[in-house]
Amino acid sequence: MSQDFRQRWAMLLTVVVFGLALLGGVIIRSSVSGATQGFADSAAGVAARYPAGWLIEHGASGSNFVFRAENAAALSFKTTLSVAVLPIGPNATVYDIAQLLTIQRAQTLAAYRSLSTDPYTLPNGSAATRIQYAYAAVDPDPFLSAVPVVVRAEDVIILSHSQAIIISYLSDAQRFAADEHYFTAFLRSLSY
Amino acid sequence: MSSRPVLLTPFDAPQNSYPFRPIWRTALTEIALLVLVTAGLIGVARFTHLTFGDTARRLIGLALALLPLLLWLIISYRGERRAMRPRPRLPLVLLLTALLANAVGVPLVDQVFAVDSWLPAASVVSRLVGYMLIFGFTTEFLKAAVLRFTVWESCLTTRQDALAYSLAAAIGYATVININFALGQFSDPAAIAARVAGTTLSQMAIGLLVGLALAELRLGSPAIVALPLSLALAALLHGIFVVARAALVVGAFSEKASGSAPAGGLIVGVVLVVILFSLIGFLIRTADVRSRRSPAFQRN
Repeated sequence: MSQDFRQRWAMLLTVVVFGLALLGGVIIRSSVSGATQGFADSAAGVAARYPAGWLIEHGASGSNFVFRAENAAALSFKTTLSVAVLPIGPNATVYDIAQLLTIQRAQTLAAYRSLSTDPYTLPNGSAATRIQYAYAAVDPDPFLSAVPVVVRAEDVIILSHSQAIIISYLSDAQRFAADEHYFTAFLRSLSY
Repeated sequence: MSSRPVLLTPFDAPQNSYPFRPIWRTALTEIALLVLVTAGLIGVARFTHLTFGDTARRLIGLALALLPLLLWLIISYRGERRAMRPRPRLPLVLLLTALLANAVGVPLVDQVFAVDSWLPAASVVSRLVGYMLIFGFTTEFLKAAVLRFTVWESCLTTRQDALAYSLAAAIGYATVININFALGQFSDPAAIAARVAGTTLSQMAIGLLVGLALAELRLGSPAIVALPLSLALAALLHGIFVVARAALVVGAFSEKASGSAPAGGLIVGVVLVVILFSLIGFLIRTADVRSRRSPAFQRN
């Protein structure tokens, strides 16, 4: 094997190996970013998969949510996915629930603004209603002189078996679009 | 009357028989000074608890990021200019590597792949493989590309040459990473110093592997897979370095210590330098002995 041939092929192979390494990087990125963990609550009859590595909090009895998953690595405001279940009467409509949520949030969240309420189709084809809103999240620690963060959020409300299932997605307004794929994947994995 | 004979060649003539700059001595001097300055800053920070304003921290960080380059200019490059046969194109290698790092390497890792947004939260194995594939391969491939297209054809005459050029490329790449870190973080000077030293030492030590493989390809007759394998090994070592540094820097919380131990990165860098410099030194010695015993060398 001539020296020239060896050198030429060694260089070419090195370029190929580098290309394969970058391809491997793309694959590992999608596998790590897309990795999920399961959660199921038999009492509420809800199961879903949330992003692996997020902090999960189970709702205690009497709390207003079944579970909540937070991205601890997100700065300024921790991107949150949550599921809440609300018992409803036989004549309640989805707009009653939307109105109730709007009134509650207007009282508890700073600078709350309802952005829109519109029909929404879940990934499995079921009909639902979506509420989009925004508010200012203020750090409760008075020693942290942090500027309030504008949070953008959306709720998807599903009426099922005399209960309303409210799936929420909250994120820093600047990261809302970039993180929305978590919510889409979360809705896709949801079973109730 | 003096009994000393008059000689045609003076006694000290053999001292000048090696016309090149001794790589190991200058590299180890640079490393020793960098480690001393870093250890001194960490010690001062620990005992004095000095605090700085944002502007002062940025300026000190920038100065620390440029320290390896300054040491290289004073020790290696000045030594090279004073040698009987200075190696050409060393500043070109350093400059081109720095430009390529700033234009391709750092943006690819930090913006295209955005490793810091998803990899630190992954499992240890995923982190190791991820940093190896994305950071390690990119870094070493870019440095190898610069060496290949600037000095490989015309300037690599000995294996020591490959080390000199690899170290210049490593300093160029490390300087860009260090400047990005110093300007992008509001860390304390001690933490920046430890980070700068760790990054520089790892780049210097790991870069030698690919440099040596390039020299072998030019001067010896290695297997075709030797260069890609050394690239993969170097990338793996980068992955191990990043994971080990993160594990050591983020220490456990206790009553006596905070959760951060900046010296951890420096320790990993020093360990890498000791292991890889010893290994590469041994490989070069044995390869040179093999070359001298080869029939081609005997004929010449």
